[in-house]
Amino acid sequence: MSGYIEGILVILLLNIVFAYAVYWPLAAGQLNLGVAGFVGIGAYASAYASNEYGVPPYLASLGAALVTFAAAIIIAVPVLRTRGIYLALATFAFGQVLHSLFLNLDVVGGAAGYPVNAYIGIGGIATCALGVFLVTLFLDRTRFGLNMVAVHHDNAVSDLFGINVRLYQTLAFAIGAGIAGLGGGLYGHHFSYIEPQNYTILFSIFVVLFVLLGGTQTVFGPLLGAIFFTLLPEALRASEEWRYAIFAVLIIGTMILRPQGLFTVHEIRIFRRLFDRGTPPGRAHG
Amino acid sequence: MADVLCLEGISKSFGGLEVIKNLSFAVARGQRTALVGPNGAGKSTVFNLISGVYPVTAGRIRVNGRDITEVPSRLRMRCGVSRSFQNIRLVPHLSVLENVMIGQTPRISGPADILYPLRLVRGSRWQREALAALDRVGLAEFAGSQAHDLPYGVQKQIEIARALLGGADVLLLDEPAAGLNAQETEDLMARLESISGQGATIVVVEHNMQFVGALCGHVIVLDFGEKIAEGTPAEVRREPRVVEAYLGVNAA
Ligand SMILES: Nc1ncnc2c1ncn2[C@@H]1O[C@H](COP(=O)(O)OP(=O)(O)OP(=O)(O)O)[C@@H](O)[C@H]1O
Ligand SMILES: [Mg+2]
Repeated sequence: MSGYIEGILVILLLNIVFAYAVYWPLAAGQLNLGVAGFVGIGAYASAYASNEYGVPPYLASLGAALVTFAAAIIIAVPVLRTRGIYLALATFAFGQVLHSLFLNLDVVGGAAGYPVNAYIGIGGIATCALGVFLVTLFLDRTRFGLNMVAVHHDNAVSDLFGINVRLYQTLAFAIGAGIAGLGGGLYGHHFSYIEPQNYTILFSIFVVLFVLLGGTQTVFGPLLGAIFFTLLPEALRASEEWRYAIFAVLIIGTMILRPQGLFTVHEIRIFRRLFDRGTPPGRAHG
Repeated sequence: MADVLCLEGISKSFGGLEVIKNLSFAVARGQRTALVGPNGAGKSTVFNLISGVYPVTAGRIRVNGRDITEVPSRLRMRCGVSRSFQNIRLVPHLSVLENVMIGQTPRISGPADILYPLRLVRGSRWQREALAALDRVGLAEFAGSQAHDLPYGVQKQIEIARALLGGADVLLLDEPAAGLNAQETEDLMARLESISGQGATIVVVEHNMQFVGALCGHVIVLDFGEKIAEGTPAEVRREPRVVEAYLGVNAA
């Protein structure tokens, strides 16, 4: 595999991981603009563990996922008291606080950045990305996933039907944070260097953008969004001066034409119809 | 204890406006009861108070003899009351089957049930049970349809199937016949009779007095949050206050 292709593949796989970090809270109706903060915690915590204590990098990254999961449960207490746009602002503020914390933490290099000694290659990243996707896919098909949809759509009715709304909201937030932490650990150990500038609001917005454009009605939307957003700028490389303009036009076009995202429940139903034995295409699926 | 649902002196105020006034009534097990009254009389509010959407200002609510007044709304279905809504409250992009399976939540116990891939495994116990509930309201053929593709009246019936699955003793149905034509209303009536014949206690809010007369043996009439009559359909129809409330004659 050429270095160029491998480089793009790594970015793609990491973007898939980050996509699900944003998807989980979105699946419960929360716009988390602080995802970069969780990625940063994961990157720094796992790098510190492997540099200072010789923890194997995979273990350090999985440990980082647990740390960010637990941190998110605590952070969820104040953050989930807010709703809608205020929740987005609260997570944004949280991300900013963490960014300045990273800038001032001298044990991990502060603004100068922090070299990471141990290395995780593309194979390890691919395994983790696949794992994140499969776990999300599985959970979505369980009653946990069904109840999450219910909570997102209507808190009050979910509550009346016995669903612990606050617990589901907290878990969605924390699972997303755990995935972000894992992604952070993988990132640091692959690029061997982390710095606070990696974990800013721009990063959060970028991931949120491609997840929303991919679609959050199904678990395939984030995957599609990540693929689209990683590969499209590369494909547009040919027209160097126009690529960002074309990219912007495509984004706006998608928002107008497909407000629910590129991949929705509707596409799933079309696939089902095509593959269902004995049900000719076009007939209502019963 | 023959009364499965019992309201004792219930009052409810919204910011100084008393919309339910000292309301008491009891519903016997297996009975089919109608809660009727003009628009804004407080019928839906009574359902909201029983299911715990908001707390009562005064009074007690008992289900199966147990005082549930202080039980959080999330746990009330486990105490035996389930409901449908006046305005449809389904998840529009989920299938009908998935929507009704949400109604099973009060009966799940432990992580094995929560992590069961019920949207993956065809023919699981949960699916078969949900299909059976849909069948009881005559909607099994729509199991795979998306809820928002179906007519208003059908969506209201889906809510009944969902309410059935919670395993409750009392079903509170808010205007179940809204959006149905005459034939569909008759079908619904037959189905509700059979559901109550199998042991469920049904309380309906309904404007269609013919429907009420044919389905229910027990009618409670509300006006401005007050109970103005109670009895069989024939009895309440003879009450002067009911006639006034319905004809809009000023009692004062
Ligand atoms: N959450 C609330 N806050 C303030 N007032 C409310 C609230 N819910 C209901 N009300 C008021 O309580 C009164 C009774 O409303 P309710 O919806 O129970 O009437 P209803 O008998 O169900 O009427 P309809 O036949 O139109 O459905 C109305 O005056 C309504 O405005
Ligand atoms: Mg009403």
